[in-house]
Amino acid sequence: MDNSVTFDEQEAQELAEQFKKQGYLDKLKRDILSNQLEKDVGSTDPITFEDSVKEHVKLMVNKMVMEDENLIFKNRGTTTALIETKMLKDYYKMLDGGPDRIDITNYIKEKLKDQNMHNNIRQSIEHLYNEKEGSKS
Amino acid sequence: MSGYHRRSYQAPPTSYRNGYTQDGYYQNKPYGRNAYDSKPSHQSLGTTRYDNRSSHQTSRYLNVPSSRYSNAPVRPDVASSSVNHRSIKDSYNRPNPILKYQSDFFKPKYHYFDPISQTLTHKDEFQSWNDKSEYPKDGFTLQRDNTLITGNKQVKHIKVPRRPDLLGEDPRSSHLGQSKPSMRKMRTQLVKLGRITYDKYSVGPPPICEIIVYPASSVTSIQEILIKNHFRKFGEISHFESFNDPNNALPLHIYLIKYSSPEGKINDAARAAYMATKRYENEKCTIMGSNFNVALNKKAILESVKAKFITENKKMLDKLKQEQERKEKINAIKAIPSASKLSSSSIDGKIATSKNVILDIDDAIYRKYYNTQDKRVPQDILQLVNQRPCLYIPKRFNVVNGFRTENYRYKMRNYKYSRFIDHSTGIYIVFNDLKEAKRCFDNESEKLLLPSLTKRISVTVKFILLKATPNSVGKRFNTMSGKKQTSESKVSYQSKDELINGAMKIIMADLEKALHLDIKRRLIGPTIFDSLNAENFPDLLERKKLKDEERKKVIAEKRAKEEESRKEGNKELDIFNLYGAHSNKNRIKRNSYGSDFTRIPKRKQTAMDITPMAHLLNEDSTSKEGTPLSTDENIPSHTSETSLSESSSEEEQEEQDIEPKLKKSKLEEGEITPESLSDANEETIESPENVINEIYQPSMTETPVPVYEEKVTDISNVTPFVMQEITKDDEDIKLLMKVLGVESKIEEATSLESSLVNYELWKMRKEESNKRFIEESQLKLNDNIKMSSELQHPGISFKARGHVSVPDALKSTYLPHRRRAHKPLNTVYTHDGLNADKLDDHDDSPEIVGNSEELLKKETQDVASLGIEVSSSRENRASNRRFQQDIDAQKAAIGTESDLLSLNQLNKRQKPVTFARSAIHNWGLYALEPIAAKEMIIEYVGERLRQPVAEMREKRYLKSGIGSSYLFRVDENNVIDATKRGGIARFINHCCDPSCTAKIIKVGGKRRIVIYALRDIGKNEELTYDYKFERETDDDERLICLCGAPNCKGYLN
Repeated sequence: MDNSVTFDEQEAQELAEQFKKQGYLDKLKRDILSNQLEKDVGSTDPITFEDSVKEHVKLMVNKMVMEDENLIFKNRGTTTALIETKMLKDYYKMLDGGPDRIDITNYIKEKLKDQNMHNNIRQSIEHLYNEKEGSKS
Repeated sequence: MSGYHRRSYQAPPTSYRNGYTQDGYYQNKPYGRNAYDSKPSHQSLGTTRYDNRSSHQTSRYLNVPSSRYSNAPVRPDVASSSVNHRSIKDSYNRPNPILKYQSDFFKPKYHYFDPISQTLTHKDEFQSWNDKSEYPKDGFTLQRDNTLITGNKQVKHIKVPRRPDLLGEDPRSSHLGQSKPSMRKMRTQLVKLGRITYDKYSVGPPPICEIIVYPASSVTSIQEILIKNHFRKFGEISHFESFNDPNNALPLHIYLIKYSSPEGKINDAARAAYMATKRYENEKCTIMGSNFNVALNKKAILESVKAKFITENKKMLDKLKQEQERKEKINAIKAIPSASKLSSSSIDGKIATSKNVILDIDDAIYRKYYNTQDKRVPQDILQLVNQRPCLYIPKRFNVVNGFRTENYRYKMRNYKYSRFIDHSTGIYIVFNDLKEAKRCFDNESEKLLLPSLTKRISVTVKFILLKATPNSVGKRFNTMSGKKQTSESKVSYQSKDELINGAMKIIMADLEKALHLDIKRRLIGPTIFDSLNAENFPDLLERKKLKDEERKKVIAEKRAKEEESRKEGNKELDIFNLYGAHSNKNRIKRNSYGSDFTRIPKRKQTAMDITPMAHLLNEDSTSKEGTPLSTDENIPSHTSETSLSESSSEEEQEEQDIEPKLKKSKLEEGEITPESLSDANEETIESPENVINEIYQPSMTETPVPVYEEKVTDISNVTPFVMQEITKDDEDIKLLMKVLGVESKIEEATSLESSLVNYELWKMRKEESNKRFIEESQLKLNDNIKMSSELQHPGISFKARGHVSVPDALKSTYLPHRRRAHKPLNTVYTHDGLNADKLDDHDDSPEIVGNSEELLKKETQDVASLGIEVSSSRENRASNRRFQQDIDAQKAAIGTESDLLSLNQLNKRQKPVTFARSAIHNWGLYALEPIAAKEMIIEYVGERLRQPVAEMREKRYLKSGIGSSYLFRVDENNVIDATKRGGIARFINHCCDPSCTAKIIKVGGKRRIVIYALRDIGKNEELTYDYKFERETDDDERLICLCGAPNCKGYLN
């Protein structure tokens, strides 16, 4: 395969698709979410990102309920949706209020910048590409 | 006339002339124009024309005698004057004429003219008939006198002298200007004569029995038999002929139909033909979807029609030919370049080559062929078309034929079109590539036949091919459409690394998205949901429970209170059930209310030993049989007495103050009157001696106590019963006798007498007790108000008195619903508490005060419980208003004025009220629920009248006996009349201390009367307002007010 051969976007898409189909994306996602928080690394009782988010959300909801106890007696589904959108609107700023802050957006950004992960992805894509070319020829 | 005559005329002797003209007879011809001219000179003054005539006539008379009666043509002047010459000349002349009429018979005739003497023999006797010149000379005509039209319209005629000297005038000319417009219809064409049957006497051609049928529009193939059958219904067809185009032998669809005329009945055939044409005179004859014209075959119409159609066909053919030629030309043009290129192009590059081929064609031809009249794809669907070729069908064509995309879609199923776009400018069929579009166009344009949905024909669809628009438009569009779609903006990677990088980028973006989504969906959502669970907050839950319970309790209490108040309310006089239907429940209630005077249920009555009346009567008769005479021996009077007393004992028991013991022991003693102290009594006294002793035994008290309790009685009104009560024993009787001065020597009454006395006594007592009982029960019934003495008529029964109208004031004394009139109306809240004080003043019985207090309490509660409602009435009103607007909008949409949707705004706000008998006057309006002050209660609805109508109606109502006035004045000009048609607001009575007030408010531009609460009004309280009648000066006219309010003015007006 010479360099002169051009690839269009379609092929890149196909590669990405392939990547997802192999389950790599899910795995990456799970890794990021179940990652231990940096400050807790090495502690005896590590809290994953997931858990901490849950904890924060719980706290926040409790606070809201304390403010307006009627919340728990209303329709749970709609109330949930309302709270959720409220949170999303200000990019999870509502969760920052807790004792140990948690910044979801920033956390994700940072995680995505991780060079290790990038390398891993690159490797797997290359692998996939080679496989594809191999099957073609 | 000869010259001789003229001569004789020219020289008439004046004497003669004068002689003749003197009587005017000769001069004139008796009926001539000069008849009335008495003056001979006038003759010469006439016009020449007239003169001629008169002279001529004169001459006739003059020379007639000479010519006729004298044998010689003698000149008259000569003949009359020169008598002396006659003898000489006569000898030559003919003999004297023998006058035929010169007989005695004719001579005395009035007009006899003696020809010999040439005189009218009776000339002297002649009289002028126009002596007084009464008539004009020239005669007269009678004319209507237009100047003198008298009142009685008698037409007078006046004599107008004739003016023969003037030329006549056409009388119609004077009418020309002022003639009345004719009522006759203006005829634009000649009126046809009725059809005249053709028979052997007829001149002219026979009637036409043939019709021709020719197409009104293009005709698809149709069977001749159908045409024939269609026209057979008019008559029997003898000849049917269809015509073909001589050029191509195609049917012209022109038919000649001849109706048969058997046995010379040509009229029938003509009639059939006529009817056929008449039927389709104004409309097209439609057979199998084709339209035909029908005409009578006259004046060689057949030939002209045929010729017309043939030429038309020829024209069409020519056109087709031209079209064909044109197409052939284009095909030839198309064929040449494609053929030349085909050789050079490979098979898989076909698309490109064909594209080139088409583009190569001369633009003009191309345009002409594909009908592209600089038509462009509209901007708004540019994105959808996306630079692809499309076939365009103009909107006009679609609308005219009623085509939609569906119609085309089916026909185009064989072509690889991309999509249909239904645009406001027309339908665009988008193709992915130009070749297919062209193929479709070549095959279908002007060939595709679609049955028109609006017309009865199929139409060919003419497509317009729109090429892919040049980049000028497309580029602008491309920039907008972004990266994804178009191949121009495609990202291409030069190397494998770049490719991988690209894939990486995609993956990273996806990863970020997925992460966020996951956090949102999987983490936050469920967590919130879970933590919202009420069980996570047990303390809150408990609190809530407690609250719920409390609330329930409150509700229950409220309910209980309501129930209670209802019950209490029922205890009161239930005015709503006084009249009209009532449920079973109510009946029981009524019973309980009236139970004070021993109303016993039926079953109980029968159980008790009460025998029916019939039986009682029988018993009576038996007892009568054993009347005194027989009984006095057989039955001891003693027993009879006891039986009597026993029967009356029931009543007596109530009155007897003596202890039961005593009473039993000396039963009869107490009842014996002083008069009846007979031997019978003596017997009884003697017999129960032991008992008497008991009474008279000495008492244990210090001071002697009377044996019988002392009773102070009113001596002024002593009745036998009082006496009876006072006298207890023999001693009393003795004293009584002493007082009355009656000797004790009363004759011993016979047993008969004693029994009679006893009976009388019993009867009196019975009556007395009955009366008392009735009075008591009446009092009870009437709330301890005594019956007015005016209503009591001891003499006659009330029924026997006949019809008497009871005044209202009296009525209120006995009618239960009126009784309240003497008490103040129970009010809930008063403005200033003044009324409450009055309330107390007015009430004489303490229980009523208590009642009203309770009422007050209860009603305050009611109002409190209703507080929520009161506050929300404003919102209610707002929502009602919105509803009304909705309805109005709908009304406008419907466009018709229908009562169904008309909404009375005020109805919505109406409070629950009902009408019932009123304490004030006849009927009244009552609140069914407590009403807060200043609330709207009800609208006074009725017919809206103008003032004069209202006045008229008032009089009419009074006349017809409708005493109550339900007219309510809105303003100076308008009155609302609820007498015959209206709402229940009309029942609201007047009160000098009203609970409501009437306000006039404007709703939708109309003034309406609305009743508002002045103060808080309790349940079941009568609604009243001040009628505000004008003060009446005449005392008889004044209406007495029965409102019973403390501050009642006594009169309404």
